[in-house]
Amino acid sequence: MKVTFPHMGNLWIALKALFEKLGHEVITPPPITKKTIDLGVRYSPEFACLPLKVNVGNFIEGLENGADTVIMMGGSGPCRFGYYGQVEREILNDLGYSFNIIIVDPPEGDWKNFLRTLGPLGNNCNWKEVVNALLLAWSKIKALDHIHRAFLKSQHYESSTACSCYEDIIKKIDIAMDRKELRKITLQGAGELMLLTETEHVEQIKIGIVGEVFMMWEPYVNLDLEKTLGSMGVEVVRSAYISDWINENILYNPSCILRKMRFKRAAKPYLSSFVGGHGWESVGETILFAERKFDGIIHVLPFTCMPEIIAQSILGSVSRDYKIPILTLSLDEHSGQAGFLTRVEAFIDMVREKKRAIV
Amino acid sequence: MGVRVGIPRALLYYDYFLLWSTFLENMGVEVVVSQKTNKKIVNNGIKSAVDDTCLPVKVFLGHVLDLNAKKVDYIFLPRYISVEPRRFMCPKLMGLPDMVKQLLPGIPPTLVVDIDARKNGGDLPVEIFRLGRLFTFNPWKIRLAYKTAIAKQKEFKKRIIQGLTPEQIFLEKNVIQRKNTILEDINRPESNDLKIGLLGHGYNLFDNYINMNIQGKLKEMDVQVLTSKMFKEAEMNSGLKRLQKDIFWTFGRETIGSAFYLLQNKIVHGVILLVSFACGPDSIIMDIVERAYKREGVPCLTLILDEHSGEGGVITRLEAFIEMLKWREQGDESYLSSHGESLDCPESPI
Repeated sequence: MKVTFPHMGNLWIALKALFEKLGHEVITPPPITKKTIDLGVRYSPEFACLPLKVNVGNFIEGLENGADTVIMMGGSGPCRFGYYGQVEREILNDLGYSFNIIIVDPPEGDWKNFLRTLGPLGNNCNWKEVVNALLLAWSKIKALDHIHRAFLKSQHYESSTACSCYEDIIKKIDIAMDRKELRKITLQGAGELMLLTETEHVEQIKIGIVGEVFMMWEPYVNLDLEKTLGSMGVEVVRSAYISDWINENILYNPSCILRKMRFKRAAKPYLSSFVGGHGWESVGETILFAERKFDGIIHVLPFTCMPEIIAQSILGSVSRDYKIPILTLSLDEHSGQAGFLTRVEAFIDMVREKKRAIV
Repeated sequence: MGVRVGIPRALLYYDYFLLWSTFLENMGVEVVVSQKTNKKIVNNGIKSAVDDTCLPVKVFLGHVLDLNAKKVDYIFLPRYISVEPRRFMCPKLMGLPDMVKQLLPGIPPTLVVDIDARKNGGDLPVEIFRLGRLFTFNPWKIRLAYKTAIAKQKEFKKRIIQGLTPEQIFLEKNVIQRKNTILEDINRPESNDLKIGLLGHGYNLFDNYINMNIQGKLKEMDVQVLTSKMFKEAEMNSGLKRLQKDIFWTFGRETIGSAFYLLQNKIVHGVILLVSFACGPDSIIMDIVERAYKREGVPCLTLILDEHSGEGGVITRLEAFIEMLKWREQGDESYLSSHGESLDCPESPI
């Protein structure tokens, strides 16, 4: 089987390792570019949100490169994401590709069906091999997130060095096929990045990023928000990582469940029900950031995202009550670099002025 | 004087008004409904909402402001999470009470009831009691009111299938009783009229300001209209068999179920999808329906509604669509493409 999958940040590294360990040929779609988005936009429903269009672009490029099986996540609503796979299958069918699609829907009690869907992915490996492959992928995800955290802590000191250092480590993580080696690379890499933080730095401002996860994790679609901020000398903290999501929703890791309870309690006075996607998280995390005395929040969402529009409607009052500036960036395929930069620069200048006035 | 509770004439008013008004009136409460949607309401809503919000939610905010001006004591804002197992309402309806409270400070206190039927029947009775306790301490009275309300709602569903509009059922005391469902009426072989399906959410189908009175316009053109609310459960389920994965939105299920049922049984000459701009679920559903219709060569028009829609443009598109359907009926069908694909056509049929 020649498998391909959609891009989301650095997730491809873990997926590639997982499927290679299971003995499949992996065709990683080429990195997201203008061409990917153009392809996606041409064939996707007009009002669908940007992630779907990017997925379609990735799949087309993957299939053109020779893949014959597409792997996609499913879901059970109410966010549109749960139905993506179904729509994408129809789009690709109408385009005349011959391929298999494996949509991984949450089992919801129906384990038999769940395992039957995943069956072909197992590739006749025994349980030990499957578990080993999963463990390797999970360690890669954790390593990538750990390195990314270290990178965000260091990039505002010396942005270009940090970026090249980060890219080198990512490459090393991609190559490593052994968990012990992975641990070594992670520790070493984090150490290297931390060295950068020892330079003098005058004035620190801290910005938290919240919002829809695809837009937050995929640098091409958020116009490299984190690095842009880093080059302005701003410290950035991302509110959620892929490993957090897996910890919460698949592994039920107690510390992450606690984290979930914390943001729910914080959001309660403003939003008391879950609204699908990450709308609740966005509100809760914003409040937690505000309580940790962050200087500003940037909220990113794909245009027409339902859960995040609710969050956006509510963040106005959060901003007022906690006296914290919030910039909402609603992005789609038409977002232009220049307009985006102007807005982010103006926001950062405003946050700086505000901080100076207080100190 | 009794307590005055306001119900906004927007969003799920067109589906559940009778349930709540019956319940509240039986609790001895005076139910106040906001005016019909008008320019002022829409403008007020647009001003208070976040830009990206869809039109129906903006209109809803306008209606809440209208109730505020009517000096009601409470505003009734149920939180519809799910009304049937394994299916959801739109995320915006889940967050609506919180959204309204944050966007419109200074409105009267809100009565929020959580409706979540994901787990076997859900705790609706519990929530109903929580609501009823505000007005009476007599649990039997609440129970009775609840039972009456549920019965009325069932009656409402039956009437809607017969082809009446919600407003007719809510406001006119003695509506015409019909024997057949509208589908049976339309399906009689002797009727030669053009039949089309008008599919969409209740608030787009029946709010004549938002949809620019599309049902009236179609009637003037002598077209028989079937809306997506006029189908029985069994009919929708038979349509849904085409899907590989169960759809997890209640309204999406209605639209897709009715669209596919119409397609399978070849009941109508074409369908119109009525969609609000930036509607999340419909962006997906629209695509599924359009694709299916395109594959079978049945015409399908998507009308997107937002606050900028001009009436002239809508009329032109409607007329063009209806004319096209008529030509297809009269002449050789293959001369007219259903979806803009070019056909090998030696001379114009007209």
